[in-house]
Amino acid sequence: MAAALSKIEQAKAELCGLELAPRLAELAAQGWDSLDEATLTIRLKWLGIFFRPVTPGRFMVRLRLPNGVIHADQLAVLADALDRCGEWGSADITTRQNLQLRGLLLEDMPPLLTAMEAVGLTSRQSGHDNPRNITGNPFAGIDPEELLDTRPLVEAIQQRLLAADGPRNLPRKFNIAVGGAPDSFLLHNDLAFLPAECQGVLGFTVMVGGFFSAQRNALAIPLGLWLRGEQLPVFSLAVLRHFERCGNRQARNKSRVMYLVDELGLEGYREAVLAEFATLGGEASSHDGQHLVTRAPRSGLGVQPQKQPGLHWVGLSVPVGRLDAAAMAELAAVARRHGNGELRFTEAQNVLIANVPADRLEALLAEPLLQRFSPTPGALMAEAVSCTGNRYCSFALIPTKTTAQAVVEELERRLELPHAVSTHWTGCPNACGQPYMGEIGLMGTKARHDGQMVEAVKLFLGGDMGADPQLAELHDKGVPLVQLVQVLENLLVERFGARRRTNVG
Amino acid sequence: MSAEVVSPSPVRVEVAGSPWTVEGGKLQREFMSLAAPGESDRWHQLQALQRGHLPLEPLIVQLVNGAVSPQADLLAALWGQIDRAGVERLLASAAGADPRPWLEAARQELPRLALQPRVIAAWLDPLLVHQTQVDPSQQLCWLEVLAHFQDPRVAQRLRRRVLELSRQGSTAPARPDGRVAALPLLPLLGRQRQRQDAPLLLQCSLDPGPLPWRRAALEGVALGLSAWPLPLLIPALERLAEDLSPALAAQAVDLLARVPGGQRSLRQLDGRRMEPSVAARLQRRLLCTPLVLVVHGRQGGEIPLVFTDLAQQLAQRRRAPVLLQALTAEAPMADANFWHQAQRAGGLTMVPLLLLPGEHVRRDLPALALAWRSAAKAALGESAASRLSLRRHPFLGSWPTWHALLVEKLEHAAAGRPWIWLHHPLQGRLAQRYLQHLARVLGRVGLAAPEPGQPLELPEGVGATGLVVPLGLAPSRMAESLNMGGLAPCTWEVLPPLLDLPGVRTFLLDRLEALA
Repeated sequence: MAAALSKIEQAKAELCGLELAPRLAELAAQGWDSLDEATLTIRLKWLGIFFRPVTPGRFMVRLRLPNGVIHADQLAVLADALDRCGEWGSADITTRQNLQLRGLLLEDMPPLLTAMEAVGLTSRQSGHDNPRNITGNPFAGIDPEELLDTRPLVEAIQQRLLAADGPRNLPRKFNIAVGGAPDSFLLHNDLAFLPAECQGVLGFTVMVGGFFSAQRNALAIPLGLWLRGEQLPVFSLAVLRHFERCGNRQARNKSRVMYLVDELGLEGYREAVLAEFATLGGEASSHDGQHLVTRAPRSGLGVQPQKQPGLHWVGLSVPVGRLDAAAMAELAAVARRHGNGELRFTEAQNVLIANVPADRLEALLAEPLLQRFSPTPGALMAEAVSCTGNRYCSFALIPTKTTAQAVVEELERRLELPHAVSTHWTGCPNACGQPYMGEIGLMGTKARHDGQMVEAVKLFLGGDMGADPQLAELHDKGVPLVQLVQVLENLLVERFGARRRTNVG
Repeated sequence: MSAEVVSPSPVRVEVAGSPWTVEGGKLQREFMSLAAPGESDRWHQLQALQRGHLPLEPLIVQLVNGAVSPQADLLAALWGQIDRAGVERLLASAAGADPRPWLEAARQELPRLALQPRVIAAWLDPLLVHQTQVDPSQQLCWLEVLAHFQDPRVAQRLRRRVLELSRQGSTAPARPDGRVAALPLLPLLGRQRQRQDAPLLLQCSLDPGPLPWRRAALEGVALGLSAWPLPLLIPALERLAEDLSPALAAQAVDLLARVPGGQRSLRQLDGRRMEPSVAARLQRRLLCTPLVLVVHGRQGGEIPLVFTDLAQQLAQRRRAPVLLQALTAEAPMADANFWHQAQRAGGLTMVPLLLLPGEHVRRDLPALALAWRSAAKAALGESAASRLSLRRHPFLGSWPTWHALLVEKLEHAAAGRPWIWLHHPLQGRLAQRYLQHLARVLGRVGLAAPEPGQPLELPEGVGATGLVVPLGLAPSRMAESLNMGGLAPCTWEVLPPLLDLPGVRTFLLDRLEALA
């Protein structure tokens, strides 16, 4: 007898959330409290709409921004939607080069989705058990160092996966990324395509199984296959169809694709995927998994020459990735004034303004917005990545974003660092802030301090996204937040070459 | 873990600094593995408990007999698992004495779980009873826990309490204001979405009182927005939009922008005295209506490219549909999005991009307006269409700003050379008066364009070289025959269509973008 479906699997099987799209206005008019729990907390995520238990009635929309590319006109539409939410409105740049908007009422959704569609944006299948936003080289197409432009590939994969015959009921979420430069660290994805040569031809070696969770953390491993760029969309579809059919639907904490690799064995998994690929007319070459990614990701901050002569991108640090309506509107305006309106989001939760002619740089750098979003942030702020934290997420045990910003600012006031140090902050063991990827990882927890339970972090050290990638390992299982600055200050001095400033009051 | 634990004599065991009372050997070992608060495994274990992967009964027993303290994270994990009998045992025990951890747990999990029939069946009735039995000083806290359930009985209690607090505030302003402690009740009352609560929530927003109270009430209005009767809601929001508190006024403006018919209110508010940031917000909330740009068109209904480009750019700027209607062609098809936007903005706007008051302006435009009214009825039905306004703007050639622009652009294009302007032949007294007026504006009399194939005859004494200005926005037969047909003197330059001049295009984009 087949095992009974879990509540989530039942909800997905009964009705695909995409079917709610035509009824959205009607549902909004009924009020969110009248929706059943499965619709509210599961199915709406197929439209990119997230109920937030911490702010009941104020919803989140997560977009899809393939390769993190967005145009000023699109950003302006999103800024306008947030502006309507007043003080409730905010947005986060995510670690998947994406954007999520908070503070929206359910009534806001139908007009917002219509306005988004009019400017070529979608939030479709951006949450829950779906292929999430597909990432690529944030400097794609403008990068003097790129091996190939990932934008059309990422776009093509998205189009294929969101087509009418694409997967709609995966056992679990699925992350895909395409590398295009020597610093494209992507091994935290379920499926990563890394640039690699095969018989003198530049294509991609396939890596599978990377993910972080409360139960297990793994970097993707070589599947032993090589593909040409144009094969990526159909191959991705093959992987997802196999995952949809064979992934574990009994235990959600054991259903990421790495568990399927474990179950079938790497060879068995490869054979199964190749068979699926063959049914779609595809054929892959064997490969030893060697690739051309050799170093840790660049921040891309500051003024950087593009491969197009005379043009630059300007990377701006957005502290812990948090935006508001006014900042988004101003970013759009600045990108239009000084560039061609194109912007990019990075996995480090920062933003780039692309295609700025040399004669516009001075004016751009004088924009008041850059007082807030600096092109030359401190060595810690440049690479501080944070999950949402307990202001909006009920799993989180600490307010990660505000804590991260305050701690980093204080450390930068106290210390001089010879180079950037990445800190990755996450509020709970689900590890959305990717703590294992940071040189310093911080995970929210509770700890005893002076006889009281207080907010604290576990510290992880040693994450490395370079040529020999390493996951950070536990260093301290509970540093109370009140002691965190001092503990980190000592660590940075002892292990990262920081020097204490002498003029700190 | 078995559920056969009945030992009445608990044994006290210290686990990782946290006292646990356990009952029996097997059970003891398993309870000892449940981490104490602050221990790293606790989060994982509570997640497992929340997912139904750990047995409940031993924990309930421990909570009931006081061996385990009812920490908020533990209670949060229990909400979705426990049955009614278990709830009643818990609430009747010492674990149900202090409402604070319950409230923390409720805020964390109930917004989601209180929609589940199983959770409602387990918790609602016991909580309704419990809330009336506790010490009065704790009733408010338990009411907030209860208020996460959407139920008429809950709404009634919330309503009564809010009303009491509201009256206390107005009748005894000197007493300590209980309203501040009860702020969370107002959004929760809004979420109950009982139509009868609209007057109370709106009154709490409007009445003088602590600003946090008024703002919480308005957030209650926001969270139940679509439930409230519009005849009550809209006037109250209009008043709030002019409130001295910018925060209240701003949210009222944002809410007005969301309700049916709210655009009309926003337009009425436009221009009133408001705090600058609120006035700016109001401008941002005013929605543009879909535009119908009436253009002359060419033979066969063809619309010149300059118009389609203009319409596309304008639609982007206004974030609203823009249709081009050629006088020489069938009316364009208005799609569902066009009518949707018209409904949201409260109407549609017709702008004739015609330069002269010929037959088209005098006769065709009224007929077109009638046709759009009929189209609205066909698309939306009689009732919805009656709420749409059709705004008709005067033809472009009558705008004083257009005249000023013409003078500037034509003088600039002539660059000191003599110049003349040509117009399509017009008939009728009105048209003649218009031409005389334009002649005064431009400082020279216009010439009627020659018949097709006839050469242009310049007035005497205008000079050997100069500029001919065909008065038209887009390419037309008149302009083409002057140029290509060699009908203009070869030493005279023929000015391109006016929309090809950057200043003209920018002028039209700016002016049309600014229309409501």
